[in-house]
Amino acid sequence: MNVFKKEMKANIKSLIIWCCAQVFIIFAGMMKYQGFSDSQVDVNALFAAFPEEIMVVFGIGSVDITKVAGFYSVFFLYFMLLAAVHATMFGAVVVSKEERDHCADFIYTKPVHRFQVIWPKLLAGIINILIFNVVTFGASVFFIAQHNNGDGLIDKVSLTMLALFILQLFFLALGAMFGAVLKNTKRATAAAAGLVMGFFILSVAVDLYSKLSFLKIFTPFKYFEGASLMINDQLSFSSAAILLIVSLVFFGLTFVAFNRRDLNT
Amino acid sequence: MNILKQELRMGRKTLIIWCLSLVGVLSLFMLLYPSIASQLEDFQKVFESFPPEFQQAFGVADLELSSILSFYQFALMYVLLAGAIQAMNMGVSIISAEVREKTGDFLFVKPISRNRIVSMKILAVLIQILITNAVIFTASLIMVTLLSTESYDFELFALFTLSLLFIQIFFASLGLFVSVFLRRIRTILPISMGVVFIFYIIHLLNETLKDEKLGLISPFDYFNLSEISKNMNYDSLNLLLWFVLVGLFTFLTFKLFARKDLPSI
Repeated sequence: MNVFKKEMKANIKSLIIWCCAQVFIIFAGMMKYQGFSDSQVDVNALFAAFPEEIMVVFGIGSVDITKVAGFYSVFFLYFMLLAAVHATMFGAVVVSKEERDHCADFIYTKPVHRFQVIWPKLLAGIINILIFNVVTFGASVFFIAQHNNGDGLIDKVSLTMLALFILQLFFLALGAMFGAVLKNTKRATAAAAGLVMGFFILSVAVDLYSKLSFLKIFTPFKYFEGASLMINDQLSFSSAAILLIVSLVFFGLTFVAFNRRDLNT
Repeated sequence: MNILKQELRMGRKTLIIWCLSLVGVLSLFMLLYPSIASQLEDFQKVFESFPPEFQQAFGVADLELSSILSFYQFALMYVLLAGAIQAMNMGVSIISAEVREKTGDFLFVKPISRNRIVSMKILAVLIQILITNAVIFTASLIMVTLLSTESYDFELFALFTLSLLFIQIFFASLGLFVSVFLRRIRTILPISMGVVFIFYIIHLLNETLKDEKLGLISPFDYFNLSEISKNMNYDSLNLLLWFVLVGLFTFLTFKLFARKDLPSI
């Protein structure tokens, strides 16, 4: 419990900054929505003129951005990116920070099992990403409601946030695994950051060239689509299952690797 | 002089890895070009068949999809993103590393002023940025020349590629400022990744929203590639803003660091 409290306290500042950035992005994005809904009257007729390939390449899809749900669904990509950076970095740092700060000598000589040190740290991580998620949810519902006659689309947004949370969990587990397996914080954050960038670049390449679509399975950014979450109310069950299982495996690996770790003092 | 040499030697390995990965990202996208070039020409024809109002609404009015540079512009965006992270990493780490790795006790007791140390370190960052840009410029020149079937506008190519230099200098100076502004920095990547991604997402958001005020926030918008290709030049207001901000950050770095209380072992 003490470890958990300590970690929460240590991360509260950065969590506040992250949440503020997120709220600002939602605010700035929704602020301009009014212009969209007023200016373009019959977008569906316009879309009908497009060949399908073009819509896919330009990421317009079948989304009607003059409707608030369609407009908001575009944000899902931004949420994924920010959440991925936040969760991965949190995971990578939280597991390895004692050695970096040269205080491993103090915490790991306490009469507790290593497991009892590591799981409160991961729990603190989960609570942190949950707060980030809830703040995103609150800000989304609030700003959507302002532009949608008070209707915050709560059920659609909560489905989107559920998908976001599964992704956050995956990235937290990924970061934690790197933190436990690699030698120090510097290497762990570098490897994790490289992988997040790689996932992102891969997701763009897959969008660009349809023959690469078999690579979709390797990038978590392609597991959920903002449009299908916000418009069709569909959360891909298989995507969620794969991500959760992989996260569990990563968490497991974190525990195993950390138990055998040769701690630098 | 010794400081400069030492910094360059210490940064060499990281620099090589960064250059290789930036070239890797660029070539991944450019290699896709031949396979989708014919597709792009079809799009061009469809867009041209649209009435002018439609073209305006989708921002495809002056789009030259068939030219290789329009595709290069797209690929370069991801190099800019990664390059910004590299530059900010260097900026944040180069001064704060002395305190973090407890080597400050040796460097700052030498009979040289802090200002001199800071200027040598800034010079080292600048040289590494210039090397990165030289590598990217050469690599992309080779790729664009090899892949283009017809002649392309070299001036526009140069303007595109040089925006990497401006963006890197901006993020390096921002990183320097952040590193002397914060009391103590333990891990660099969460800071630089977070800041760069937030600016990048504001830029993405602004691609859809086209809000002038929002455009002043994100440095990625100062060198908006589609604006550059339209005007064949950088926007003078944005360039001025860039100069002022970089100057301000550098000035504050000297000013704050000269008075900073450095903890010792």
